Amino acid sequence: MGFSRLVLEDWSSAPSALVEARGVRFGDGAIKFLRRLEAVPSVVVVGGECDASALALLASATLGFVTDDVTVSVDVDSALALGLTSTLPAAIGGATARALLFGGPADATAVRRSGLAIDGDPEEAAARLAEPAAALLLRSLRVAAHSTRDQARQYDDELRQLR
Amino acid sequence: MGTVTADVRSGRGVAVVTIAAPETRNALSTELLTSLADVIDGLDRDPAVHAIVLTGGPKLFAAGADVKQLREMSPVEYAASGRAACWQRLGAVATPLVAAVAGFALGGGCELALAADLVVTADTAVFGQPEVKLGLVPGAGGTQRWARAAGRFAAAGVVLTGRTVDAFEARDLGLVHRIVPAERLVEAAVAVAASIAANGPLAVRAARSAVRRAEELPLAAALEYERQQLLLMLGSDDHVEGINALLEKRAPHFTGS
Repeated sequence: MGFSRLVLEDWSSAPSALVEARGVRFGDGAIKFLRRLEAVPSVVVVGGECDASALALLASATLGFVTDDVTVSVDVDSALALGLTSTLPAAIGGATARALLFGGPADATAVRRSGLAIDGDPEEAAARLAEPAAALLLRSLRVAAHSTRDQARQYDDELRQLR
Repeated sequence: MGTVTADVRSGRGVAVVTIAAPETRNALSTELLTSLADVIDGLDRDPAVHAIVLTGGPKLFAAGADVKQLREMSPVEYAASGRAACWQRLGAVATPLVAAVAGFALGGGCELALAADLVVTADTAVFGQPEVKLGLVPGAGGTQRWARAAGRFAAAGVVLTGRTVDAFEARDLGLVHRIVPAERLVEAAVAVAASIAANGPLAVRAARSAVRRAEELPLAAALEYERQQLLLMLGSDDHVEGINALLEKRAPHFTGS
């Protein structure tokens, strides 16, 4: 297997991360954790009864999965603290984001339907993300999110030189 | 202390100047700053060099002044240290300067980047003027160049709070020409510098000088300066060659005369 299971202190030079999280709750360090997660190819598996942090975790991951028993309840404070009103529409579109934010507790079906979670085997996904090409694609996606199309294309031209 | 090295890529008319003081995160000690000014002065006089890339490498640009050295300095010692003269020498360079910034460009490092004509960054770049957090103020152009480049309010947001700005925000503020992967930083900056160096050297220096006047002169005087530069260029061989090359559909061969 080409991926690493990480603890919070163990981020250095891992080709990809598989994060398993049950009963996710907002707390100190969440923002920093999510920012670091965005920078590495990552698979997140969320289960159990969670607050809005689960949505932030799934939106920050490269690929998200949920277990069938997941339930996500959105509270205003953690949603605002996590910046979900900007990150969710960017990740899944405004209408779907509003459905998650205002639709009451979301179950596994609703989270998967939103696009934040996909079907499949998380470990296989993490192995795919451990390929060097995945890291390049993730870098491209991250830069593109902050760039115009031409700026992103210029960046990608340079990224291709690294292959 | 670290080193400052120059790699002249004569085929492209570009020199790459690299600051390497990893133990101090390229902190700009008086000695390092003096070396930098000496090296760049020398390149500025080299007729084969038409653009200079200034970098700290793919991980770090310069994390500021040498704070330990600063702590030991009295105002008189600082004034006598030659640091201000070094900054003036760097500001007086006529050759276009492209800063290639990865990682931290803080304090004096940020001021060094802002002294360039163009800034190419890695997506890891972080700019800031944290001097106020140390009970100091920027002393090498930080307050003025931020304000001129990004506007007074954006400058105040950085200089008064000491907060940092990532590559993307810096680009939004108009400071950054291009963002590239860190591994490609120097080569991408060289490509930008080479695209400058391929143009008429007299025209590039005149145009650069005119653009810089925008920071110093009232508009009417700056426009007059621009007109004077155009008149000078109309008397050059390079402009005849440039127009002939365009009409003859070939690459120009500029001689700098």
